[in-house]
Amino acid sequence: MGGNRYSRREFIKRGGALAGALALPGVLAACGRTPEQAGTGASPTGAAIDTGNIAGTKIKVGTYGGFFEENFRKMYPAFTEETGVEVESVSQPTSETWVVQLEQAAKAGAVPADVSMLSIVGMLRAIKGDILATYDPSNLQNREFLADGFVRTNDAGQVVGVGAVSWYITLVSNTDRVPESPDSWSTLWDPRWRNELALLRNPGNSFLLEITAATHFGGYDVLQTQEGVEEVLAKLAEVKPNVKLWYRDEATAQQAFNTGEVSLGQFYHDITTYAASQGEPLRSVFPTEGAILDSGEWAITKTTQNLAGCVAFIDYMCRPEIQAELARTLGTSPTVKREFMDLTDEEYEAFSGPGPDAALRPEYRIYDEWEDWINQRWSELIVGVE
Amino acid sequence: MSERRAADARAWVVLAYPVAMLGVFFLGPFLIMLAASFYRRIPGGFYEPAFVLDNWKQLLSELFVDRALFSLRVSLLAGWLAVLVAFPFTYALTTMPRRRQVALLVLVLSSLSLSEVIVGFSWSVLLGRAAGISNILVWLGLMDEAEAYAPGFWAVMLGLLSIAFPYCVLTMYPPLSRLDREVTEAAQMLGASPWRTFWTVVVPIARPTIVAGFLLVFVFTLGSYLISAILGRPEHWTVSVFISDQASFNANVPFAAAMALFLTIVSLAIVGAVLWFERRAAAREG
Repeated sequence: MGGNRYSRREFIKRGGALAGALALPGVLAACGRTPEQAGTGASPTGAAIDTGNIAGTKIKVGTYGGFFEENFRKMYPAFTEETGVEVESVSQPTSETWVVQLEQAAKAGAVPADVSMLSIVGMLRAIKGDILATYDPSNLQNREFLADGFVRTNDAGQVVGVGAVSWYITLVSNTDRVPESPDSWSTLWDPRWRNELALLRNPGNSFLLEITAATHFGGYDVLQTQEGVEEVLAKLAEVKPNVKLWYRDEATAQQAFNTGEVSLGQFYHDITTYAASQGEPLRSVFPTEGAILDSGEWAITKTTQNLAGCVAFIDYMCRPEIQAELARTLGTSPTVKREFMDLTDEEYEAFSGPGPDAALRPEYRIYDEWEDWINQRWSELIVGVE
Repeated sequence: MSERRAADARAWVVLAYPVAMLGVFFLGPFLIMLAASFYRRIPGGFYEPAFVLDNWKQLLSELFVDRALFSLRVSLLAGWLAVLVAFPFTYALTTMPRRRQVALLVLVLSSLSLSEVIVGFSWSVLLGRAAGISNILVWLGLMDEAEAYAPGFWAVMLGLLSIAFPYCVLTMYPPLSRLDREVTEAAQMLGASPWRTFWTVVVPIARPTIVAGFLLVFVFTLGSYLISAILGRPEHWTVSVFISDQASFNANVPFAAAMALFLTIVSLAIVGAVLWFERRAAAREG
C-alpha cells in the first residue's frame, strides 16, 4: 500500500483540506503573529530585498504531499545550515485545490504556507486573484541558470513565479496486463482498451485537449477557437467507453496501475519510474506525438511575514546542483539549463526521454480565457449529456 | 400561571445555547453561501462581491438539470432500499433476547466509525478486479476470470446503503422497541401468521418510523459525494461531486453555492411534502 506515499499533486481532498486546516494554527504560532498583522509583509516593488538578517527566521514551504514532499524535505536542512532560515515542510494537495485554500486563508489573514509549488494553471489563477507576493528579479542571483521562460514576471517586470521542477505526463501501463506498450497516444482510442484506461479528471491537469489535438488534428491550431475546441472535445468523447477511472487524486491512480485494476493510461513519468524501480509492474513510455511537459513554479503568498527568507529559499532551489539532485532522486525534469548540470546523457534521458523539444506543452491560454466554458463542456462530455 | 412562565423561561435558558450555536454555525454560513451565490465569477480567477443572477441561471443548464434529477433518483431509491432492508432487520432485532440485541446494536454502531472515504475505497477494492470478491469465485471454480463490479451504478448504491444502513437502524430502533407486543400477540391469537401480522399490523403502526428512516437516508445520501465519485462512472456522479469540483478545483464558489442552495431547497421541499402527506394520512385515520 504505497498509494499515499506516491501521491503528490493530488491526494484525497479531505486529507488536503485537513492538512490546510492543521497548518493554519501552525503558521500563526510559528510566526508569532495574529491574523490582523498579516499582510504587512507584502512585497516592496523594484527594490533589493535585504537578506542580511534572515538567520533565525522561519518559513513554511508547501510541495505536493507524498513522494514529492518527502524528497523535497531532504533538501531543506542544507539550506537552513547555509542561511539560518528554518524550513517547515508542508504537504499540499493539487495546485487547483491549494490555490483555493490559499486564497481563503489569505482572506482570513492566515497563510498555510509562505512558499508553494503551483502548477501553471494554478499559478495563473493565483495571479488573477492577486494572492502572490512580487519582487525584483535582481534578488534571484541564480536566475541566469534557469532555462528560458522559468522566471514569470508581471506587467511591472516583478517576479511572481520561478520554475521549481518540470514533469512529464506519459503513457503508463501495467506490465502484467500489457506485455508490449503502445507508443502513441492514439492507442487511447483503440477499442481493445474498453474499460481499461485511467485518465486525469480535469481538463486543466490532464491536458487531454492538447493530446487529442496533437494526435488527431495535427497540432494546436484547432484549439485557437471555441469551435475548434468543440471539435476536439467531440473526438475526445470517443475515448469514454475505454475509461474505467477518471482520477482526481494521484494515489488512486497509482494504486489502480500497480494492481492492474487499469491496464493503461496517462500518468506521471517521475513517480512511475520510481515505483517501477521499487518493483511495481509499471512502465512509462514517451509517446511519439510527445509527452505532456508541465511545470511547477515557486510562488510566495502575499501575506508572508518573511519575504526575504522566501526569496532566499527560491534562489537556493534554482542552483544547478539542487536541480540535478532533484532530477536524480525524484525523476523530475530540471528547470536549469542542461549545460550547468553534471547530469550524464543516460541520466538525462531517464527523466526526460527525447527531451523538452519533443514534448507537448499545455495550451495554458485556453484555460485562462475559457475556463468555465471548457469545464462545463468537459463535464457534459464525460457525463454524457449531449 | 407564573409557574408556567418560569418554566418557559427555564426552557429558553436551556435552548439559548443550542439556538445560538445553530445560528452561528448553520445559519451564518448559510447566509454567507446565499450571498456568495450572487457574486460575480471571474473566469480563470476567483470571484468578486456583486449581485448577479448568472450562477442561478446556470442551474438551467442541461448538465445541472440532468445531474440534479439523477441525484434525486439515486437518493429516493437509496431511501427505499435502506428502509426495505433496515426495517425488517430492526423489527427482528427488537424481538430478540436482550443480550443478542445489544451485541447486534454494537456491531451496527461500530460501523459508524468508518468514514465515507474508508467505506468508499474498501468497496472499490472489494468490487475490483485485482483483489475483489470475484477472485474468490474464480478460486472456487465458479468463474474463469476475475471481473470488476466497480465503477458502476450498483456499486454506488451499495456504498450509499452501507453508509446509510446503520443510521436507518438507529432511527427505527427506539420506536420499534417500544412497540406494544400485546398488539401483535393479539393478531396472532386471532389466527394471523407472523408474516401477515408483520404486514397488516406492524408496518401500518410503524409507518411514521418508516417515513423517518426513509427521509434520513434520502437527505443523507443526497449530500454524499465521495461514494459516487469513487464508485461511480461519470454518469453516476451526483450534484455533490460537481459542487465540490466547482468549489475546490475551479474556485467557482458562486456557482457551487447556487448549486448547493438549490439542492438544500429541493431536499427541504421533498422532506416537507413527505411530512405533510404523512400528517394528513395520520389525521384521516384519526
